[in-house]
Amino acid sequence: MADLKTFNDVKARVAQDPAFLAGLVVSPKKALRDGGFAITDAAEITKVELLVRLSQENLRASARALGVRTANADWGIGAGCCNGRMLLPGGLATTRVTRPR
Amino acid sequence: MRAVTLYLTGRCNLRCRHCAVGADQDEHRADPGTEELKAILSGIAEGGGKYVTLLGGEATIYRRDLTELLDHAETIGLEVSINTNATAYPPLSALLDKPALGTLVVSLDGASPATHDAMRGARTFQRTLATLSRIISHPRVRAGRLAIEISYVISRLNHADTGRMVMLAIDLGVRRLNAKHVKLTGRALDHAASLELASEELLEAYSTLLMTWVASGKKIELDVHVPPALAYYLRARFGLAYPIDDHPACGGIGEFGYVDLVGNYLPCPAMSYEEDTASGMKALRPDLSLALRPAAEVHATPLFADFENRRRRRAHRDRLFPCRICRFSDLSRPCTADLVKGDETAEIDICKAVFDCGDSEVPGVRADVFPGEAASVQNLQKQAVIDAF
Repeated sequence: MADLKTFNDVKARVAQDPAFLAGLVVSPKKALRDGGFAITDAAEITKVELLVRLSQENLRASARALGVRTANADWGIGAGCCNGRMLLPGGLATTRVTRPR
Repeated sequence: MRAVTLYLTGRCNLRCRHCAVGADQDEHRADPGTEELKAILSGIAEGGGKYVTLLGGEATIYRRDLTELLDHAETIGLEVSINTNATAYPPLSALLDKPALGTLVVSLDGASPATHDAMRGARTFQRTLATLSRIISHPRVRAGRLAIEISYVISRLNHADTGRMVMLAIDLGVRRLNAKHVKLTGRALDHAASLELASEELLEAYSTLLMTWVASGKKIELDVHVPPALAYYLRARFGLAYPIDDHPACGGIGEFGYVDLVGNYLPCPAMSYEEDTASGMKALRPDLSLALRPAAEVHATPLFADFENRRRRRAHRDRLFPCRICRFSDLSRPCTADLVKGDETAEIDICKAVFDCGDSEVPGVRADVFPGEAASVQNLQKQAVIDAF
């Protein structure tokens, strides 16, 4: 991917790349550095900082609002644990479901 | 014994750095015969088992009887999953049509050649991706009758890829991503310096994995073990509502069993010779054979009874760190493989990562999750005074 040379580059990457967005939440300096952050203009940097904070808040809100739906994994071996648990797509309030096959 | 794993062969075309059974690749032991395996499968079905996982080594390349085993599994009502490195499509192609094959778990340890090949060997990434794309287009996969999963082992070599692995799994169209961090056993011990994650790296990897899953719109199933301490940290830091409850990593003999290369049925793979050459399980013990004994009789042996008793009593609480100081220790039932192998200094890595680094992002989480630490430090100080005399 292209280096992040402008605010619009960062904004586009946030919109297109969930892994980058997650990186901004978990370790923003590292995510920007690994993304080739090359902005030196002070005004652009301020905009990027605001974008990062907003992105973090939005992702945290997603994590809270949608919740996590889980089920006991049928196999267990996949994750190396003998009794795996899956996070399922979508999101409801937290429940535990035993999924019959 | 809802699900049983069978280790079919130590032979493999790869020499992955993190292989738990690497000793068997350097010094081959005889593989079990087809009729023996069919008898074991029958014993599993008669004992109430529903699911069987076949693994190696690379069974799809080195065993010629997988179609016969799948046919036998179908007649006795077992559903089969096969673990594979998927570096070659032809040996897999004959298996994909078999009705008993319900899942194929493909090992993919990086989102690019640089990271995956560092774990598994040169040019393995492109071979596995090429095989995966052919498998995904198989009619049984498209019809939803054969699930394709990715197994991803996180290590120091590839931990920066955790977010990209979620996206790659989505792009490939697999059903599930299974993620776990490396266990330093087998060949992985020889490569510990390059594989072992520091606490900060481990915590960041799991955080990125889960937050990418959220950011992607949760488009894929994600199988990852999140113990209570980590769940608490993720909730405090990101608001992620992962349940903090008593889901056990070790489901016990009612959930899981393992049959080793010589045919011993065991409650834990850590008891096998392939995972621990000091285990004493190099030869078959008739009292542990599902081909010779009903499952109920094997479950009544001291080996199984002791394992299950320790699990039920949560005997790990006083022996594992940081379980012995964790406020959730009454909820947890972690993997006790290290204790099985006699390692009394064993730790639960990811919980230790919360202990070591949690406060840097969530101030106060260490004291919240590990209230026993203060008492533990006091005890150590008292002991130091006693020892001085």
